[in-house]
Amino acid sequence: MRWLSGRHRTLFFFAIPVIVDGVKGGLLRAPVRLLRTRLPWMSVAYLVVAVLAGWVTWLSIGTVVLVPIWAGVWAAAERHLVTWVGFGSIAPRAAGWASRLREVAFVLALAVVALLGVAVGVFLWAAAKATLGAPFRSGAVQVGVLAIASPVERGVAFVAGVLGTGLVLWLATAAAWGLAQVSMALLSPRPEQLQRQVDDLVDKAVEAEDRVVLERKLMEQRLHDGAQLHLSAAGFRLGLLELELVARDGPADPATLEALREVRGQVEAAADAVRDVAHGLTPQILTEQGLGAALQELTAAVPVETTVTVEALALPEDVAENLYLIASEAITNAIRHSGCSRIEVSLVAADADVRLTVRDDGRGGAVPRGQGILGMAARARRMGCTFDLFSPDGGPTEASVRVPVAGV
Amino acid sequence: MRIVLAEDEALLREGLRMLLEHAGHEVLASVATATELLHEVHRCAATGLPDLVIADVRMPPAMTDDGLRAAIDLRRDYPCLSILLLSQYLGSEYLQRLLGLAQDDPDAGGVGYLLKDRVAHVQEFLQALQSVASGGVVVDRKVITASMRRRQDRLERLTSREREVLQHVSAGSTNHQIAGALHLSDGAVVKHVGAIFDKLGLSQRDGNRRVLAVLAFLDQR
Repeated sequence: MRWLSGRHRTLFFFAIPVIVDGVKGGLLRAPVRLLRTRLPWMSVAYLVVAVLAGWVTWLSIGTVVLVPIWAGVWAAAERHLVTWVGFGSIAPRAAGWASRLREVAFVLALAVVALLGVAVGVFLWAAAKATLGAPFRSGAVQVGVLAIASPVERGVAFVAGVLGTGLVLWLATAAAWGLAQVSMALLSPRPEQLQRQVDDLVDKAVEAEDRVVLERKLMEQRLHDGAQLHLSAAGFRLGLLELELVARDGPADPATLEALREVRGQVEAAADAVRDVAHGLTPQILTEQGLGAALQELTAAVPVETTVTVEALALPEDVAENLYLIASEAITNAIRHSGCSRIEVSLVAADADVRLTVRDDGRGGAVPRGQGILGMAARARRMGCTFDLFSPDGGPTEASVRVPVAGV
Repeated sequence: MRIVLAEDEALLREGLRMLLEHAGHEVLASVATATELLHEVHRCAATGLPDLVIADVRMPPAMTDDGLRAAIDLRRDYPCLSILLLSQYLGSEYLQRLLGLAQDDPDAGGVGYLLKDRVAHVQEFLQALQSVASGGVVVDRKVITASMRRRQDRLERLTSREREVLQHVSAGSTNHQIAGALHLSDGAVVKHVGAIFDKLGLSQRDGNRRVLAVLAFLDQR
């Protein structure tokens, strides 16, 4: 195959099975039966519409700016038109210039189809007149170099006309099928385009989350240095008050003591509430004590058994923060979806990497579809790390992030 | 008791100092940083070690775990010094490092880890001071509760009453104190404690050794 090289060869080999499939699927296997279905007529209609659309392209070419607009409009219609010839409708356009350029290429291809279509149409019209029309006219009819005069000649011409009609319908079906293939190739969004679109969206979500995290950090700092401090101070003062009361009155007045205790209960409840709120935010403990302590504190309030194994590693603050957020997402997922009774979190240096692993003993079957898992993957990608999710049906589930040491 | 106090928030430091003095203790020094704490204790050591050091975990200069690191340094220099740490965090990481300091040696000083909220429970707080100063191990109930929640499966075999008793045991209470807190007789507490140790497969011990055994059990992997 010296005449095909590189990308074309791949395309060619890719095309072979597709064509064989199409041909086997009716065109070749049962050519006669095909003519009894509505597919040939739909195909003719599809081709006629394509030819008309091609002429609109010619009209729009005069004013160049109209071409992309027309391409957008017609591509949207074409995505549904392919259902006429037995294909499923084509997914909507992916974002980006490449998709629009391919739509323009498609309407330009239709312009060529329009020229061909008119030529073929003129030829078929003449042929139909000669074979289907002429035999029924009185007198000798001259068709090109042939003269149809005798009844035998008339009969032969008519039979040729009928057989020709069948052949033309069959060819029209094949042509429509081919054209639909072209439109599928040009108008279907490519997987990598879709992937990029998904990545972009997830990145945006992660950025939004980062902004929230920053706000929470400030909030936690304010809770810690503000509300918690004052509540502690109030608690200290209450303790002191209780002591003073006992010291002054000897055996203290029970009603006053009871009231004091009530206030103390309220203050303590407030302190607990503040701690709970601060707890769910990114912990100050992360910046102060590092990832290990933060993961310990994070799992302290988790309702299932947890083990945290952390090697003392000096990680840059942003890496530690991202790992913390990934771990907290993984733990949240495990508790919410896996029905696990045990979670293991580990952060260890392995070979040339630092590896964070969150493993649960739940029912598994997690798929990278929800924002949670995609978000973890996006975070890892942004740090230049790899994210792996291993979650067979029936469990266990293991989410891990590998941080290259060079990045640490 | 003669106490050295280290807390960086002036509001809390003064409150605590007044409280301690009101309770009849002598505050030898009240300082705001870990560096000053080391300095003060070394200075006091010349005339006689304080009975107790109370220190916030999070203090200047680094505002991380300076208080805890100072405590570890002090214990290395003075093994019989008793130390009580105050913190805002439930996490058990500090606790593990702190318990590394607790020893079986009856002459060794006590250690304690309390949340700052505990100070409001003045009787309980003063009692904890006494325990630690006399060589005991005291851990805040809320920290223990968080630990127990994390280790729920290990504690499934215990009845709810036994779990309550266990919480007090690991917080460092004596049988008599537990009896008082849960309105039980001393004998009933002894029976519960026996059942707990049997079910958890721990050998019966006394005093600090039993607290350490239980805490080690709660923290084991």
